[in-house]
Amino acid sequence: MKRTLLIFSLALMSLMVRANGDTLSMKYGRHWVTGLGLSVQTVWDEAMSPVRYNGTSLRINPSLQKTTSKHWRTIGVSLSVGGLRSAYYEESERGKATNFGFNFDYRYLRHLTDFGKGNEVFLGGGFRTLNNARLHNQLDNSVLPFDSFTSLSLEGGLQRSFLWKQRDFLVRYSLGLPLVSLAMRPNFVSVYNFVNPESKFFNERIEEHGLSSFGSYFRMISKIELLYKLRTGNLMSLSYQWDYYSYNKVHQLNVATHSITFSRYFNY
Amino acid sequence: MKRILYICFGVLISFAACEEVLIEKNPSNDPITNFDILWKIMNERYSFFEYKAIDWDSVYDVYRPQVSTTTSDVELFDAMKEMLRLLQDGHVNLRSDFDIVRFPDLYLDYPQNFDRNMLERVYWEKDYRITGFLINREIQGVGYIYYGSFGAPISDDDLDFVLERFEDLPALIIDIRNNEGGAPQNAFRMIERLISRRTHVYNHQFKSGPGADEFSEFEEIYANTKNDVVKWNKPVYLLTNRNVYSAANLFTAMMKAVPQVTQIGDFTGGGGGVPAGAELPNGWAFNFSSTILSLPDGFIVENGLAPDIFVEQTPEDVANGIDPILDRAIELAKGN
Repeated sequence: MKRTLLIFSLALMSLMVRANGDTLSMKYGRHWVTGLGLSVQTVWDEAMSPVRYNGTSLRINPSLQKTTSKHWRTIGVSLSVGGLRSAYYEESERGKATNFGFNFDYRYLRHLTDFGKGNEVFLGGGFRTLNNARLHNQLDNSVLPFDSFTSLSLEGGLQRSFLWKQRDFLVRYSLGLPLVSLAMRPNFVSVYNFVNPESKFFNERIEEHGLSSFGSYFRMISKIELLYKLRTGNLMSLSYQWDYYSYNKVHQLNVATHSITFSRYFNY
Repeated sequence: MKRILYICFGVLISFAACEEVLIEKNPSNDPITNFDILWKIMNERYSFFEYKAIDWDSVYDVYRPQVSTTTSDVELFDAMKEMLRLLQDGHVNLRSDFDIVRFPDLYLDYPQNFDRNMLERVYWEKDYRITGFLINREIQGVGYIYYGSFGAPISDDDLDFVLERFEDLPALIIDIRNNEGGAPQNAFRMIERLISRRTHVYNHQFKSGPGADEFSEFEEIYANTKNDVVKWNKPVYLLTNRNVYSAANLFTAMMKAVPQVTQIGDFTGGGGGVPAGAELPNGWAFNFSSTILSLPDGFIVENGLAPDIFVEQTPEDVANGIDPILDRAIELAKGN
């Protein structure tokens, strides 16, 4: 599946229409971005079961982005829904889990330095939330495995414009590393308190888990994006993101997500 | 340009490779590993070992030697089934493609004390109403509700309609025989009509860690009264049998805290732990009790709740079209 995504992304690149030769307006501007993507996910969550789950999700990423010669700011959300299943239960519908995701990201990076020809380096911070819930009929109606992390992060970025076959392109690479996070996970048996009508779900989770940092929670978001300018002045892009996180309190959790996203950048 | 594409491609491949190292491999799908994982998860997460005085380590010593690398799926399932049935817990199930572990002893070892066919023909007859999922009618001057599953949602409108219908009658019979559970929310929706103030209905604690004695603190659970709805403060007779399980057992536990309620019939079947679940590497899934629920006085409700008035229905009663449990409730409701 990962290989298919790579081939798909390279094929899309080759279909891009001819651009205007204006790299400056590609690098800097204010854009409303709409992204539609496909993710492939591998999950090891002992709050569910000590087995690997794999699946694909559909992803929507609306965001706002502003880039100047001094800074690079983005604010956006990501919504995803898809299926997960363990390796040995492919024949049965009961073996399927449904995975829901909601992320909110705000990143502010300052232009740090230039190097080489057209390479710009950015460094800054961010506020990132990561929320996933997995509904699995195999478990029980009282079981809700989920993970929620709200983080302050260190953010880095690199952008470079280049010419290829007389067409202007911009490639951006960004890396996010959460430093300190508020983590919420299910209790030891992954059962939410559905026998108590007065239960405050989020309050209980916050009380149980609290703050985490390196050692208990690690996340890395690595994204590479290729942008191309359309005749209208808007941009289109194809990006690949690898988002990995692990959390080792209560139950071991490791999740890796590969996403290919096709986006349109609209000037505003 | 080529160089950039190569770099991009290299980055992609290297991350994909990292992932294989960072994420645990699937455990081996062999009989021994499957057995061990089942035993271990139960060992760490099942909530009633101490209450049921079960030494799970010795259970392992007995059943693990029955499993080897050449054990077939059916043999493995049967070994697991025997092991799990020792827990005598209706919330413990193991599901494969060819069978399900369950614990029917909870009700098969006792009289049925309920015959819906006879009940419908003799007591409900043809003129009962079905309001949402509540079968209701007046029987010999007493309000009667049959609620067959807490999995069937009941609404405020349903309850308003039924209670208003019976408001001139001296008492209400709530028949939950053969109700094997569902959603506790429906139990709260019913009980809030019967109480006049916030009431402590039961205690609840979760398994909170892998150790045998790792539990959360007991949490007191309260039912709240509801305003602007039709209430009922006259006597209530709750009919139960051994098939009353899980959320229906929970409802019975809650009703113990309501002064005007009398439980009639047989013991409930029990089911006093909220079920959790997991999957094995071979794809079989299982459930188990993961919490402990007790009455406000500390009595654990896992093995069922005794009626205030014990009444049985014999096969002869059924043959003769008699439901002594319902008859006794009617008799009490009419003040005889």
